[in-house]
Amino acid sequence: MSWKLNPDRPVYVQLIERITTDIIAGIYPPGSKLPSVRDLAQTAGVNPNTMQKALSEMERTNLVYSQRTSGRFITEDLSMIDDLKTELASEQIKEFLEKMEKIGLSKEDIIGLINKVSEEEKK
Amino acid sequence: MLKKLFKYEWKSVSTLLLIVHGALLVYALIGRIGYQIYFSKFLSDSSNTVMGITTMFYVVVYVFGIMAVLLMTMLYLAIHIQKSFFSDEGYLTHTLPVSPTQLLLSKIFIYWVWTILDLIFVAASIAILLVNKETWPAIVYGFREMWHTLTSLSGLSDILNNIVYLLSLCIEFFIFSTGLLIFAVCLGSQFKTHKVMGSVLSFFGIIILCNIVDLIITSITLPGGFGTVMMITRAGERVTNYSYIIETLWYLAAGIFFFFGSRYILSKRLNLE
Amino acid sequence: MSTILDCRGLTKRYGNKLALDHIDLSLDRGKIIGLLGPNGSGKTTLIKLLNGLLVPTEGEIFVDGKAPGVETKRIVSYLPERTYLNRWMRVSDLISYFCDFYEDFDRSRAYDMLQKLNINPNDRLSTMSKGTKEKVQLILVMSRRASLYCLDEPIAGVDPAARDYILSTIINNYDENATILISTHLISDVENILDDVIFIQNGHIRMQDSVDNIRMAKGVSVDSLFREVFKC
Repeated sequence: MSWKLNPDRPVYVQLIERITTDIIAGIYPPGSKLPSVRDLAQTAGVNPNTMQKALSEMERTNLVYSQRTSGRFITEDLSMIDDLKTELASEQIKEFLEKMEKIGLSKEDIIGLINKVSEEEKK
Repeated sequence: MLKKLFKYEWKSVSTLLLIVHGALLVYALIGRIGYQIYFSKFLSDSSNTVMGITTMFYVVVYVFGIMAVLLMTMLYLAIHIQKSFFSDEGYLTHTLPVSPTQLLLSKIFIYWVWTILDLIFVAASIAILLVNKETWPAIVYGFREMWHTLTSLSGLSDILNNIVYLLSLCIEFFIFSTGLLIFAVCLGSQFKTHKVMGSVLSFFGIIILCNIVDLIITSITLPGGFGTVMMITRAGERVTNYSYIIETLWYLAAGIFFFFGSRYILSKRLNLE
Repeated sequence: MSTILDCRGLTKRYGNKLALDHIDLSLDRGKIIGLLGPNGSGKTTLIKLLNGLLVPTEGEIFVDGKAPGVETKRIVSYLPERTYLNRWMRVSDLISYFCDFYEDFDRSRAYDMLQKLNINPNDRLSTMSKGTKEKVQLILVMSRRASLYCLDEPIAGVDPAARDYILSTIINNYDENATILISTHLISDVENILDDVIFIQNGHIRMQDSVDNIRMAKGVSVDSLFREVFKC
């Protein structure tokens, strides 16, 4: 199955997001080798040119580096990955808090509700 | 490339044509065998009316059969060419990396090969039917006489006669008739609608035109003037019939024109639906 | 030649109808390009001109710097909108045919694709469903290692599953040096694989841009933009 993509936003931007998330989640561990552009494009169901563009952009931000003939590798810079993780989580939390504000919950309400819901999830 | 094109032309048309021509041979064979059986069993009873009618029926069907086969071969090949160039199949034909000249030549060759095969099959079927120890000498004699009469038309010496006549026949068929057929098919494609009708009209239209030109040439060049039907060599006087040679040259020129015309249509005026 | 296709003042007239009106167009190599427009906009006409199946009324068209002819036909692989293959032929015969005439035809790739789709090479086209026939035609076209692929409505007549397969076949056989020109009116299905798009209407080019630019600058999908631009 190809990756789910939003038609209103550029494909390569969404590819970067997806691969970054996969790196953070540990699907592509630090220092490991990424599949080839063709394979990734095939998995994602996108144009190899677009995948190439996404990976080149990730190379520019040093999240990924390429070794001439061996292919592309994930950075071994654990702190960078950690920072990205924090950044991604922070963005999600910000969005979440905005939504909760619209509903009209206070910070204490939110934290209490979070605890309650995660207790129920465990059962 | 040309060899490959021809190979696929052959594959495409030969199955049907071989079956039809084979059937003709089988029909002749049946006739011959039937004849042998009849005459060995009922030799004395030669006034048998039923046999007589059957034979006549057989012969009539046979003659029509030959005419049908000859006509059908020509039509079938013409339709094949039309389909290959101007129907949906044209999308395949015209996107091949071959030149219009090569396409035309492959069609011309298949037409030549099968028309010759056509004649060979017909001759073979007649031979199967008629040839035996008694009839052979008569057949050979008949051919010789026919040959002599026809070749004397040009009024030249015997060997030259034969060569010139043969050459003119060849030119007429291979170059003129083939060219005419293909050019008519190509002209048909230029009609906005009813392309097949267009081809048929073009075909007969061109024939009429050629007959007119024929007439003009004959009247100008024939030694005896307009109205002379046949060259009869008078005793002691051999009159060279230039009209014959000029006619042949005219057919040659027309045939070449048809080829280049077809090529022009295929390369500069192709508009596939 | 960095551009694979150049059209200058390209015009095609059918009697009174103007199918293409003085088109100026350039296509770069190494891209998947969508030729998008309503029915009758001139998409098929342009593709046929490219392949030498039509002759321009005015103007010029160049493929890899040459006018359509034997040389360009060697490097262009064309999938017409219709079934143009002889129905009596078997798939294996067709593969031999393509092998014979096209140097760049990859026989093993063709058989590979046929096998993945469970299509028996000994079957005749006449025995196949419409969808299967379309897949066979696509396989034959994509098995060539051409410089320019012209696919005229490759997914129009087939079910969604077949569409997915066709699109993934196109991507998987894609060579970065080649150009794929896809003409279609089913835009949302193909948007995700296109690099650039060309909007064409009534024989005129309305717009030529990259999909990324459209999405970034206008914040809408190409499909949405199309509906807006070609509103009835």
